[in-house]
Amino acid sequence: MKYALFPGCTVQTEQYGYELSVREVLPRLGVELVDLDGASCCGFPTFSTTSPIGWKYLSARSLALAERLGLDILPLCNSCHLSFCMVQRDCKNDGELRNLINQTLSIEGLEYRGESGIVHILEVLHDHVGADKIGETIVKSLKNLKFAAHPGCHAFRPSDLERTDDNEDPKKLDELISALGAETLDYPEKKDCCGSHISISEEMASLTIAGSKLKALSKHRFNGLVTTCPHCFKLFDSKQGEIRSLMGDKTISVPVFYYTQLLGLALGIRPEKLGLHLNFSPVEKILTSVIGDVHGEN
Amino acid sequence: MTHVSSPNVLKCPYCDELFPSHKALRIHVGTIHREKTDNFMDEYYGGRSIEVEFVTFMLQRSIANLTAEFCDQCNRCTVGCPISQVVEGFTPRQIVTDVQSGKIRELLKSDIIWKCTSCLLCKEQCPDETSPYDIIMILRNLSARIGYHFPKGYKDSDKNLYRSGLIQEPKMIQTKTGNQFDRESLSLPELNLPSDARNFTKALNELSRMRVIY
Repeated sequence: MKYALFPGCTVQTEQYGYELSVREVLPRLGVELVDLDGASCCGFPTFSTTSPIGWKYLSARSLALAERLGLDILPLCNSCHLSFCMVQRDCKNDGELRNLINQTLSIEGLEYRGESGIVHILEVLHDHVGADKIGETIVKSLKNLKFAAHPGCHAFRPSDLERTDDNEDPKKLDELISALGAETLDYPEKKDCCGSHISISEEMASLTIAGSKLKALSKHRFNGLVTTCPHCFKLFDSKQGEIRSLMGDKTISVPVFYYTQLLGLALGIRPEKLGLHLNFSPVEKILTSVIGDVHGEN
Repeated sequence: MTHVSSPNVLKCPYCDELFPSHKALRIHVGTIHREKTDNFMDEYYGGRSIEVEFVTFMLQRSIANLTAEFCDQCNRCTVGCPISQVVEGFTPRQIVTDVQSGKIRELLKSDIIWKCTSCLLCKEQCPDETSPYDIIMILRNLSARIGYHFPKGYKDSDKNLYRSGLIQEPKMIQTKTGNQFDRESLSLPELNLPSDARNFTKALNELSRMRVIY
């Protein structure tokens, strides 16, 4: 298993904990990661507003870079993954679009032929490595902990495009959580949107939406929330203070993890190597119950 | 793919009457439709004229099929919409209705189309091929192109994208215990960025100026 790693803008400019944990954990499961030199933003969902053709060029450009390496591309962000899948479909269905993009790509000596695949991290872990293999590899069970899976909208929508998980009943992340020995539960708010894509223009609305979900988690007695999407994570993890003041609810306090961080803990990796000291949410209580004590930052 | 060129005859957008010159149209609009002609001319035939022409064409093509029969007002889009529950005045169904009743310019000038969070639930629920989400994305593109309303966050990320290839610069993160970390201090590899920044920017510029429809 070898993939061209595409962290995306949000991960590589601020969600360092995700990148650290991915780079730490995946190779231990036999997944080789190759950096995609020369890549850029996928173009979705901001530049796609300004220039749909410019967006499609940007996504096709990264797909072409992966193709040149002969590798499938592994974006770490749900929206980058969706963007690549949409552009792959559009280029396949519209020869004129593909030609136009290739004309521009040829300036850099690139060509997009539509041959490379696009994989989501849930697919890599669940379908390629396998939940069973993960279960066999871990050295520390996360038993007695109950986590809420938050796959994120763009992992399972829209259903008219091939997505990572089932649109009605996404279960892959739950199965991956169970593989670590932790408990999970199909809760009614599981598929609810985090609201992050509106934070750019309507921050209050986004905080309210995220806050409702966090409140629901306490109701279901989850010990924390787990996701693989940097947009969802960023909102749930770093905005809890603002959410508490906005909603006037001081009880909202939910530890938020990237799945790869939890997986790393179960593999016995030290928290700081997984970037857990960068999480803003109160993850310490979970760390204490998993490893006994919390390591300092360094 | 469709290219749009400047018009030879000028058509009044209010009554579709044709005019041989800017001056004739200006007099017509000012007297018959009582519109402030300077604003009107700039919007339709001044600096932004080609853009407006393009946008009009794009609208016709993209949402021309939104006739009264198009949406049966089943309201499924709005029932599930997470934004409708927290932002007053935002309902996907109303946006579709406004487009159908020709209130497109009002929609483009308001900030309502920027309140969608792209969860795609309405796209999933909508029985029609063109969902409220698809319509909102078209309207956003039109609004950004004409320059009616384009939120600052979008402008900033575009600016960064043109310059560096990413929507923002890598940040220094201050943890909850007050320590600071950046990519280098976390031993993360260098950023993946376009190696030839000049050609990258040039390509984006050329593509964005292109009036093609997808």
